[in-house]
Amino acid sequence: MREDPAFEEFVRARSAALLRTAYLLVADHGHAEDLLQTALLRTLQHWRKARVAPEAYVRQTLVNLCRDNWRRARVRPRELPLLTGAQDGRAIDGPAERVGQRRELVTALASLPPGQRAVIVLRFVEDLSVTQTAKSLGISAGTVKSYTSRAIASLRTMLHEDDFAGQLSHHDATEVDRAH
Amino acid sequence: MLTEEELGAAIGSRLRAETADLQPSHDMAGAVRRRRARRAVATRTGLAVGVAAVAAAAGVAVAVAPGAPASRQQAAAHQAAGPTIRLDGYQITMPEGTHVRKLGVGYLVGDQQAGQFVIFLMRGPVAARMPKLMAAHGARPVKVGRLTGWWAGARKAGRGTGGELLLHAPGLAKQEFLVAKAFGASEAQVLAFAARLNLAKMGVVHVTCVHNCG
Repeated sequence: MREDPAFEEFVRARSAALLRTAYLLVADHGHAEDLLQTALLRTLQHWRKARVAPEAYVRQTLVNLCRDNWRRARVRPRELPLLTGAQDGRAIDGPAERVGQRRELVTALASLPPGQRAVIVLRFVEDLSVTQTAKSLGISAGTVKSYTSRAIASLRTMLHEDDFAGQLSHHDATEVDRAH
Repeated sequence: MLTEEELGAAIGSRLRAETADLQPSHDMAGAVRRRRARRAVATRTGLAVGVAAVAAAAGVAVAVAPGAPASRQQAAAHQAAGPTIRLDGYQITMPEGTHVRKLGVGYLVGDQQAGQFVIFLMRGPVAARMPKLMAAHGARPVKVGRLTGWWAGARKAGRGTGGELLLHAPGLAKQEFLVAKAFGASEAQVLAFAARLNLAKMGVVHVTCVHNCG
């Protein structure tokens, strides 16, 4: 079956950004790619409906798939974490995962509970409002706020806030540039 | 001290920066298209696969169940017992009494005498149903996981996605373990995977790699 060229164009243009969202949600490159493929497959199956706002559709599908996975994970035997010794990373990980070791904040984010992680990703990476985040995750706006609060507090303790001060001034400058 | 919103915005910026080098594998649209085609085939053949999986699971249960009648065990044993087995291009050497069965698109390897631990490498709808099927035959899933690097590499090499399901059939004591080699994993990868599962904690004293001689 021949796909709509608009779908192919959309995938080409946006798959990197969507992969980033998936990666931040699941904290694993392989899982993220798998998740994104599944989300794109579902989008393709409902392309008539999704073509109006395909990115939002895929993002929502990613969030739904993640929620399904988290729900399943509760009743599944727990996966043991990767060993932290010198051997394991070299044996398993490809270049993408090795780069991942340098991602301090991504690692900190991955240690948050799934709900809090999703809230941080949707609110601050995807720049959704509290209401949009609540709708996307199927929770109340109050829950989004409390998750945000707890997640930020956890990240504050895990990371040095000073690191962000420079980042913030750069971010503000970028925002000002954008406004002009 | 930064406010919550300010810190959140800074976190967002830094997360974007830290993940700026993330790139999907080439031809994501093509991969989706291929998965769609596979799914269409899977839907058409779903019933047949399901029946095959149930039949195979029953066979495996015979192989590992300590209480199975001797005649049924002998009937199950003729399939692949012996020191050398050829399995889809892999020449696999195993101790006597080991049974290998192809199940769906995965492989199950177990020692009939020891019999209690197997790694089951498979993917797709059959994999999703396996825990329930195996539980129905007395095997208990103790671990479900995925080996990211290997899995991603296997997919890139066109061998499909892999999932691993480690099953434990209760009631037997001998602590030996065989790791199936499928989808092109190297010995180091298999051993690393075994380490990741932390088999020692589950009472497994050593891991034997099945070598790829093909």
